[in-house]
Amino acid sequence: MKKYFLLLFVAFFSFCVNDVDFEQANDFVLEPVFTSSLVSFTVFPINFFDSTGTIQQNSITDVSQFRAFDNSFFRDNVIQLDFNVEAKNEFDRKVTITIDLLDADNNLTYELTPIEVESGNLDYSFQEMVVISENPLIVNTLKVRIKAELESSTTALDLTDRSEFEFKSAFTAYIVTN
Amino acid sequence: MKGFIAIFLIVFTLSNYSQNKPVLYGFAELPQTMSLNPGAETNFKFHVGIPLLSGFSSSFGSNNLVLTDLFLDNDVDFNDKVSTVLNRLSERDYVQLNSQIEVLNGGFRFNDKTYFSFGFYNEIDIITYFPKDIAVLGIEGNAAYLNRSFSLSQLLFKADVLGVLHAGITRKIDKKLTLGARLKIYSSSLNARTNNNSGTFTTVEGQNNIYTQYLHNVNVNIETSGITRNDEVLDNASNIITETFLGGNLGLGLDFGFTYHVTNQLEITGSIIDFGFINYSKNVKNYTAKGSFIFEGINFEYNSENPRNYWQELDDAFKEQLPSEENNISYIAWRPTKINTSLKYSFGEQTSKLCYDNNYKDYFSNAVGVQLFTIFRPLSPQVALTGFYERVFAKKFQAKITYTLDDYSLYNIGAGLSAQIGPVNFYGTVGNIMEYSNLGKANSVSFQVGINLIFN
Repeated sequence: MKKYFLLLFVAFFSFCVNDVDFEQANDFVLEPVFTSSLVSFTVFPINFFDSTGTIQQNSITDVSQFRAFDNSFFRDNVIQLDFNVEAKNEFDRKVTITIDLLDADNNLTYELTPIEVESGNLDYSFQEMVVISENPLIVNTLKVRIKAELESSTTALDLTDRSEFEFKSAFTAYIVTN
Repeated sequence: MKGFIAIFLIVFTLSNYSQNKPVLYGFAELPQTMSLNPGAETNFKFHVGIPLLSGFSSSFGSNNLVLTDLFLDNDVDFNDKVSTVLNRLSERDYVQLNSQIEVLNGGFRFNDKTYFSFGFYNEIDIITYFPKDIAVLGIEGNAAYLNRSFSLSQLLFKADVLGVLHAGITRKIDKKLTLGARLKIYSSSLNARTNNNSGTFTTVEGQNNIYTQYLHNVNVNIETSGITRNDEVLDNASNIITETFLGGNLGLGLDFGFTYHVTNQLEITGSIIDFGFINYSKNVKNYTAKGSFIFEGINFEYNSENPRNYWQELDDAFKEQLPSEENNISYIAWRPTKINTSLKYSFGEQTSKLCYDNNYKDYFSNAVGVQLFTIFRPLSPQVALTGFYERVFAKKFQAKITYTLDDYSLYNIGAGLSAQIGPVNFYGTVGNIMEYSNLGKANSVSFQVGINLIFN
């Protein structure tokens, strides 16, 4: 079948096509840019207390798998990742967010710059660009871990307070195939 | 991915073609005219096509694109050319490739009024519409297209590789009317099609997270036969050819046609070709996906008492809400039916020619007329209108010139010659002949050639 198509192709285009350079197809560079949400959460003061509601913790941590790099096309061709964060802090103290990217063995593959959201900042935004070639370990990422840490204070949080800390995030992946 | 897109672009540029054969239709009473109209008049006792050489047809072209749009040897960056082409093409633009090769073709006159013809030919028939939204999404991504709904309904293609065993009868009813019919047994070794898909993919600014992505009302169905064998993708192309000899998925089809002389000089013809279907039941592998899914990222709960496997839950929810599956359910596909009609007025020097039945038939040295061709394709019928002029230079040397208006071009000039030396008949036709010197700038090009032995 391939020969059949080839024969047709050659018969038509070998003799009658002028000023055409099919080699240009080798110059074709695919450069899609994909964007997607990543992790979001909304926490209240109660989330910083243990299950008994009596002991306040200064930080809470959650983790999820992140298997985008399982896709070989993505893994082999992504050249840059932009992380975008939006946050709203109604707490009476600063909240620091630490985002760690981890491999299967929980080794750090990339640590984003800690994000400090001052108390009362209701319109915080942050972006970090990660160039893959400068951070090659990042393609081994299989998990994302986010820690929310309260600023040290002499006063305890009010368990019944409905103030919230809202966190949204997204990533934009720049793909280039040569 | 990149290779696939590059190949797609090349193929899309090169092989946009109609199955219309305006030059061959009704030309010079060739045996091959009976394949376009089984009611075509012929004037010989029997004929034999030279195996594999009696009829070969193929064409290339493009309605909205020429080869040089992408591959002209100039200083413009290739990626800029791709971008320009991408913007220009619409989801109604299509790639179409049809190629036929006659393996066997023969016929004989049963009596004064009846001619039987039979044969076998292989055919490749491919049509794919340009899935613009999917192409834009794959080439440029979604980041620059917030709020744009990428439609999955633009995914529309059909490919078939088949053999056709056929037998026809052409019956002269009276001096004015000739009718014909042809029975076809199709044997398809390879088929793939997808049609009537629906669904959209949209990224918008979100409420609960920065973006919300919607896969809305997705219903995608891809049917294939012969591409996978025992769950392995076919890697031996020879099976494709051998199974066209009645070893593939079988189907039935009919051709009908007529020729009617309104007057001695005015003739109308018409035909319906490939009114039939194929039942695909061998090596079937179908793929479906149906449902809707909304993605807003992963929502952390920070519940250390009850840690969750967010990713697994996401995966499970996706599979539950938008399930995809494979099955082996047989399916029926209709052949792309074609309709030909023509009106022909003969004039000029009048001669009489001795016919097979020892009568004499009047011939004129010139003829003009119009032909209308329609083929039913998944999205809409494709129509071509042709004006033509025929000239008989000598008893067995004829020529035809056509001017065709169709999806591809408003100035498609074709030409054909038929010559017979003894019983050996040669014919050849070329479409869009003005562009043949440089196909790179042609919207469409087609040709048919063949050799027959014709015995009067």
